[in-house]
Amino acid sequence: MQYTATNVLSFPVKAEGPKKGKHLVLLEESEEAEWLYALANGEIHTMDFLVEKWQGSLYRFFYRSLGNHADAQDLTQKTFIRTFKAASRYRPTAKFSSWLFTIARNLLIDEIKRKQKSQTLEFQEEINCMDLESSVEHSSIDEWKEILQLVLSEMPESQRSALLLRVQKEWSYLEIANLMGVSESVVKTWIHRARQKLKTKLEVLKKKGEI
Amino acid sequence: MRDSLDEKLDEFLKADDIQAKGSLTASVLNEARKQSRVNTKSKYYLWPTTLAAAACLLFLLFNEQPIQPLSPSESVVLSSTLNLDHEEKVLLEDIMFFSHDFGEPIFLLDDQTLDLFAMLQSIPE
Repeated sequence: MQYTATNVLSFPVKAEGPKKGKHLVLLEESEEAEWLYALANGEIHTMDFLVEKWQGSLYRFFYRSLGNHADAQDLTQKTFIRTFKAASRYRPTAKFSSWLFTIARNLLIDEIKRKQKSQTLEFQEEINCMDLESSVEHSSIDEWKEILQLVLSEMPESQRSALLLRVQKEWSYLEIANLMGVSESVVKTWIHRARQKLKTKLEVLKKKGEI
Repeated sequence: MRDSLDEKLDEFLKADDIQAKGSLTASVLNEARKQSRVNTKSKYYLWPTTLAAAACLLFLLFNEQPIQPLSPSESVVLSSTLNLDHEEKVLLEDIMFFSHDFGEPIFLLDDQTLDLFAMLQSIPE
């Protein structure tokens, strides 16, 4: 059966009885399907519901990926705009969050590429200085977080995104693999490597007594 | 085995203490969506405009008429300074002075060259 926003809406939101697989997924997130369907039909105010529910998740994903509020804010807004534009094309054959974070990740990759192109030597030096300053004996409550953020920012995007989706969104390896278009084992490797890098840094900080 | 460092790491990664900045509302997003649509359209309009301008330039470049060189009668004053009296010489100097200012080309030929020029003109083709 081909699911569309219309026939998903015909399901009761909280149906009785056991539901498995795709049915359960659809019912869990039919709220978003309903909002997108309404949005596609001109009910713009439903965007507010989407923003209220997903802004925080997207923002934290972007913030940890890029390490600053301005980029996180900008990309969160862009994700919603793209969601807005694509509302009429949405078919709830997969989880809404998978669809949303596919958009988010595409935007993130574009942003990273754009930054890499425009990144000047000066900017790189600035980062190196920040790293040095952070490693020296300055003490602040969140210093360890700043240092970890630098380690996270230097990771390949695939490792970082996989780790963030696993920890922040608590997605399964399979869900992450589907989103990223790779096998589960690759995702496991990425997450393991990413965690190891961060843990190694944390151990150093712990020995220094900075956490 | 998860340890305290894993918990610390998850605390950092979850970033629950990070609050979203900026207020996003449906109306703000709708405006931004319209704006981005305009920007996208302008991208599509830019290419044909650029191509049309380039085509016009190429057309002008290749259809430009070559500049006709001035005929010697318009550009060369043939005169023998030796045959001029004083007043004529002064007048010629004035003409040279002003014509230099206005960019008109004047070439003075000495008698020998003038004779050669006259001889060449007298030879039947």
